[in-house]
Amino acid sequence: MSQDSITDQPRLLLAAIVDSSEDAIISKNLESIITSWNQGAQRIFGYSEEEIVGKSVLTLIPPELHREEPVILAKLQQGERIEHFETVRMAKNGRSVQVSLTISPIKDGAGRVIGASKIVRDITERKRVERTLVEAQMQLQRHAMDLEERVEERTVTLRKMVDELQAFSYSLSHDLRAPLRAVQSYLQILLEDNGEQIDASGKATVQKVISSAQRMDRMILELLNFTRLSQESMTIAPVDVEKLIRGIMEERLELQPECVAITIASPLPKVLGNEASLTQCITNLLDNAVKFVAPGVKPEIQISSENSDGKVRLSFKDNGIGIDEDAQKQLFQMFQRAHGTAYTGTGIGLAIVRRAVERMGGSVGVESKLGQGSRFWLQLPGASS
Amino acid sequence: VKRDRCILVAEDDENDVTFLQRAFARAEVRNPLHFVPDGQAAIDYLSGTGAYSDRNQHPLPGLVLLDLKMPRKTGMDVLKWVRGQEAFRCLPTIIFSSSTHPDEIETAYRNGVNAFVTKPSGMPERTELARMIKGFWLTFNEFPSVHSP
Repeated sequence: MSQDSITDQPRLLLAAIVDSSEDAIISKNLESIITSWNQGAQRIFGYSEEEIVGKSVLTLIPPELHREEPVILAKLQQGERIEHFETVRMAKNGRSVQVSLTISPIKDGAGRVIGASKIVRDITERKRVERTLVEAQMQLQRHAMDLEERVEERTVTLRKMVDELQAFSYSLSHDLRAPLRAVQSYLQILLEDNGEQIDASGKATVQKVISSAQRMDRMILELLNFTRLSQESMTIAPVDVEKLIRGIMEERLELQPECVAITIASPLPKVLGNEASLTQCITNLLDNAVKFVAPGVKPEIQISSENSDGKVRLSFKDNGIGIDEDAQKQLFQMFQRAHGTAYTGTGIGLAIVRRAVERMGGSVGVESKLGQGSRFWLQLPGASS
Repeated sequence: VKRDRCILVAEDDENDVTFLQRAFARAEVRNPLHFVPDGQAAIDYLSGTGAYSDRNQHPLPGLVLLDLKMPRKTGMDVLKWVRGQEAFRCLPTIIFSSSTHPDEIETAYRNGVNAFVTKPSGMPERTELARMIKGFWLTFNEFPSVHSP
């Protein structure tokens, strides 16, 4: 008696757990006859315990899936467990139910398989969510493909435009420069052939037209340089800046020691950049430093470097006329000329510097005060070796 | 005699023709200049066809100057044609261009040009160039023999 009450208590507890389960918990014997049926099973399949116990599990299996049952039985008889087997079962009202089955063999005291317990989880909702997810994913993929197609189309159009622009800037150089050359040359011929008939002020006027034409020619050339710089691909490699600067100094007449005092805080570290573009940038900066000095002053340039966070900042400090703060803001923009007509120039040089340095992954700037010289700087990634 | 060899100039811009004539005159180049207005005309001249069939009037040149951008056939087209002809494979040929696109310079040299020159803008520079052509190509340089095709 006392033994009964000890064993009864857990059994009652188990029955309560089985009863209150969300999942269907069913047992069957080896003839596939249903032997027990919980509340969950009733909820999922619609059959009451009285209706279904004693019937074949085939009642719950759609006819086209009846072949599943012998396979399951064979596995059970070998003592195997079937876990999370996803399939379809049929409710009383004929509705298909997506289920996940876990089936375990039930053994008697001697270890023989005498039946099976099944836990059936209704996964219809989960399957629906999965399907929606797959559909959403497919839709996303379609959108991505659409997008890719459109990007490709646009790229083709853009490339065509760039090609057209390149062809345009090319013919610009040819077509615009030809009449300019003609203006300049005919005026020179006029001075050569008819110089005696023109008085001094007339000659001066003609000379002004000639130099204006020459200036415009230089502007067109520099504009071309600028567009080429923006469009062409740029190979980046370690550049020995100091060697490059000394090369520029040797090559250019305006940078000879008699014309300008250049000091370099040697050694300058190597930077990562494009040698040709960097040559152009530094040439433009040095030319400016030499050009923008007060009359009678010998230009002086101090070149130094700072190294921080893997970046190298090259400074070009001059003793020039300086730039007021307002003009500094627009200094690196196209056609901006801080000093008007007192000094010759095209207003493109510093725009080229900025575009080139930015394309090399660097930056450019200036510190200056009117009358106190300027310090232009370029910052580029350092070359570690 | 080198001084007798004529120079064929293919140039479509009439102004440039005027300037070049003047520059060569100022540089006292004695070699006769023959001008053709486009690339196809240059090919016709060299092959002695059509209007250029009379070799007394249109003698074979010792030196060819080609403008790059011309109607009908470009200077590059003419260069390729010239180098494809057995008779003209060695004919000294210089390209004159108003723009210096690195690709074009490379292509011209690949196609066997002897020099690639950017057209100078002003008269003094043009005259200087004419003097240099005279001094180098028409004086120190030796011409290969060029026969009619």
